[in-house]
Amino acid sequence: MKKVWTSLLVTTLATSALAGCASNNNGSVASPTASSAAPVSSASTNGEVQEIHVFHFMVEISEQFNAMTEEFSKKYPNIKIVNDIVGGSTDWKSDLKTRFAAGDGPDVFAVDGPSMLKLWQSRIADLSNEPWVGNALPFAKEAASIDGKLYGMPYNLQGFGLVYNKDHFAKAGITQTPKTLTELRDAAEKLKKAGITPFGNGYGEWWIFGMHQMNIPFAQQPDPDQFIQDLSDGKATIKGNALFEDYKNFLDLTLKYGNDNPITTDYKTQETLFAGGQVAMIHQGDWAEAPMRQMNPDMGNIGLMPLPINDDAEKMDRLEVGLPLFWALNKESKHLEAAKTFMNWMVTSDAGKKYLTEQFKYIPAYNNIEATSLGALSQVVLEYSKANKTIPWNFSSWPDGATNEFHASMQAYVAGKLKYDEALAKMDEAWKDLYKK
Amino acid sequence: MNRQQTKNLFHDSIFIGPALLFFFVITVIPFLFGLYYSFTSWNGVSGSAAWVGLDNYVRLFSEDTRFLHSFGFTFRFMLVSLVLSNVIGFGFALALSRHLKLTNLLRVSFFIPNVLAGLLLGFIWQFILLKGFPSIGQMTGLSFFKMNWLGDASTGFWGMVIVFVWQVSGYLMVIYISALQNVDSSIVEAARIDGASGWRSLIHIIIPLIMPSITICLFLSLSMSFKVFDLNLSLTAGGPFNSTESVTLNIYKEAFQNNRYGLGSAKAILFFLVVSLITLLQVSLTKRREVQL
Repeated sequence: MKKVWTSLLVTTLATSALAGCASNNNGSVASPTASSAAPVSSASTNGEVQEIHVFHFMVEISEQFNAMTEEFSKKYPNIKIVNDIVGGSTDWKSDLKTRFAAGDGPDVFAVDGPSMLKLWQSRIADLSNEPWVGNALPFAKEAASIDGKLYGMPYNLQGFGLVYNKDHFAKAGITQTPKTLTELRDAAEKLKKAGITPFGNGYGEWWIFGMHQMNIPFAQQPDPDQFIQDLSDGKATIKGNALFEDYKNFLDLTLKYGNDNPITTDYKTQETLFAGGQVAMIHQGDWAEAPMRQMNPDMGNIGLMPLPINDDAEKMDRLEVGLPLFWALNKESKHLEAAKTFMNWMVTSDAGKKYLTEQFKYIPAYNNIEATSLGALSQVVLEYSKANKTIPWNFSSWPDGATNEFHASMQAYVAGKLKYDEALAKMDEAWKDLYKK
Repeated sequence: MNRQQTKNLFHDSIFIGPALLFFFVITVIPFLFGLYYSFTSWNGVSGSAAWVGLDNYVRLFSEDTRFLHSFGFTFRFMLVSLVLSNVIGFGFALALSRHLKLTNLLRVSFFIPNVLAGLLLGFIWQFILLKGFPSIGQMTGLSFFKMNWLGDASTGFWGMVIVFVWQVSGYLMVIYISALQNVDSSIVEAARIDGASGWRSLIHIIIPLIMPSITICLFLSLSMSFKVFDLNLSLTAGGPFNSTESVTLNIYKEAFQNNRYGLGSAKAILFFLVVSLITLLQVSLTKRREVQL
């Protein structure tokens, strides 16, 4: 009998082991509003306060965002906004899924691109007839449309490339910002002679490497969307593609003239290196300026330039510009109209516009909102956008999980575990597997 | 059923009922859900899940080398951690079951890592390994500290082992201490008088007598190291190049990053079977070695 009990006990424990792993979802939630989410009372009558839950990942502006929603509630006293801001390096997408799985999905939430919109399509409302649609930038609307219907509300533009330290460049005697790979190599050589480490590579961070940097050979293809289609249909491969061969030269250059241990350098470390003046260039976006200025107010003059992977000056002088966020509306929200009112207010009211431009310092994705108070890097993004010298954020159309696989393959190349060709072949394999769903 | 039996049943259900209820709601039901999803191609978001039969399982065995690799990693990690954490835990227990002045302080300090959440430990140690070690290396010139910690497959593996062992040993130590204190000192003394050395009485008297707690400790460290997740997520996140990816992390990424919840569930079910098998085997093996006085 004792034996039976023991084995029963062990099985029980082992079962709980599994459940433990299934529910081991450590979403650390940064919720500055301390929302003790009380269940929203259904059947709201007139005059009753309606609660709208807003979920997004812009932790860097959480305070300002909370101030904005308070402003909104002043104007609409019967709508209460509860903010859940989960982001930074946390896995906010899993967090969002678990909320929906628990029947506690937010009313308005952030989606980071076409591929995520497709995933959530069955749960979000069609926004084609909203008041702001006429003023949203055409390419932004295109990115948020599925079969001619608009599912996401565009918000702002962001861009990334090589953030560089102008003072270091001047000190090393670089007068012109490099437009080609050869010019970049010369610049790196000059910087090294001046005793400055040219590149701060954050190759430990999946999104710096597997997403933003791998985007360039994809987005520089003659027809990026067609290229993606061909990859999925097995008509094209990453291995052997000319632009990916070019990319190797750029990657090798950053490694040759880069910081120590690039594989374990993450976003924070990379920012610290640059803000502290230890490196002259990092592959980063315009969002990095504010935190780095906070780290070191004496950082000096900084600029942003596209990242050249070959010597075609005209083609390489394009910045990666895209939309980091679309607002999606939960179809099953109990207060659809109130949620729409809030979304609309964010981009059409004077107060909402002011927050977008002056407080968040974002580049609006609307032709009727003028950008003001931009940082140095965002200014460059705006100029390149206006001059139409941009390449798209192609990664938001890749299969889910591709960015992480690319990151792993490229890390293996950087570590010398794989030859470059082998790493590309691995990426092809991963694409095939992930595309299959 | 007579009155006595009814009464007993009533008593039993009062004591066991709540725990059983929680176990059922929190473990059994989700488990059955997972079992169902493992036969579907659900993406984790949409309202409907398409039934695909055994496809997910076939796929795991035929084309998912990364999953198999993560099993290999977890297995190696388990073996090394199991041995190290038990040896160190037992060593601490032996040293601290004597009455030293600092006994209590030392017991507490060895136990503390266990109180901290694995997720935090991972971040703290990430900082130590990536920032602290190189600084020490620069100051002392010792090559051990100058290694590329967490930057390649082997240092990543050992980094995980170090932190895990550091976390678990104190916990095992507490169990071993209570076992050692329960050993009848007259038996040990008798052995001494018969001329057994300290080493011999440890091997032939103490260890057989505390076999039940060894069973428990082995079981705990085995299942803990096999199911390691939070530490893995925060310390290496499976990197570099997926070389330190444990099975649980692989399952998590499959379900939540690749949005293939069905496939992830199939992996989880398979993982459950493997863990059950290994722990059952271990318990039955060590159970056999327990002695009755």
